Amino acid sequence: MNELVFDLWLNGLMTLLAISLLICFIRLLRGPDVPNRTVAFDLIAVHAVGIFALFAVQRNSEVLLEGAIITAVLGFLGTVMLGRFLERGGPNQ
Amino acid sequence: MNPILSDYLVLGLATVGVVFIFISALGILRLPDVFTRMHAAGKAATLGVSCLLLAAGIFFGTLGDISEFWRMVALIALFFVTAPIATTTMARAAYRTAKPGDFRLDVDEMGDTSLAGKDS
Repeated sequence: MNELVFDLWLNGLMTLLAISLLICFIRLLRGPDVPNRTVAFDLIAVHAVGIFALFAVQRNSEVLLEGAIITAVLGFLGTVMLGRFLERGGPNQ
Repeated sequence: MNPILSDYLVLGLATVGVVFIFISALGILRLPDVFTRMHAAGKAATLGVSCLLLAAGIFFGTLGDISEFWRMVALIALFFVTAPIATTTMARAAYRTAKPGDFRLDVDEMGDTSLAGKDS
């Protein structure tokens, strides 16, 4: 495939992913309570992994995939941490 | 693999993944309460990010480094293990910290056994 078409297509996909990340941040901003914001945080971590993968393909650098792996593990740990924090009483106690 | 074919495969998988993640984000914005939002974030986002990581693995695998492909397969397996655990933890926390009337459940199987459910 033409190199220019490949790059342009990847740029369009990353733009769509950035718009999707913006929608997640809207939910993080105006979620009515903390569980809604926890769900938004989980989806933001998934978006970060996807943007890492697409950026590694576009820049042709395998080092960025390490960042994708570390972001996946840290997003899972952060989500579980927020869930346990809510279950032990939350921000009100 | 034929490089032309692998380019089309990478772009197709990446497009499917981005579309699924975008649908998941629309669901988290539009759906009415926290459990339905969790349903959007837990399933569609896992499928989308699996397609994206598989696209990256195929791209670097056809460049000559097959170990990157297997690492991406391992990362997909990690997502498939951790996403249900994270969603279950969030759902249990949301159920136990809810006030009456926060969400409407047709069937409430934890109504008798929960510590701070809305029916207790």
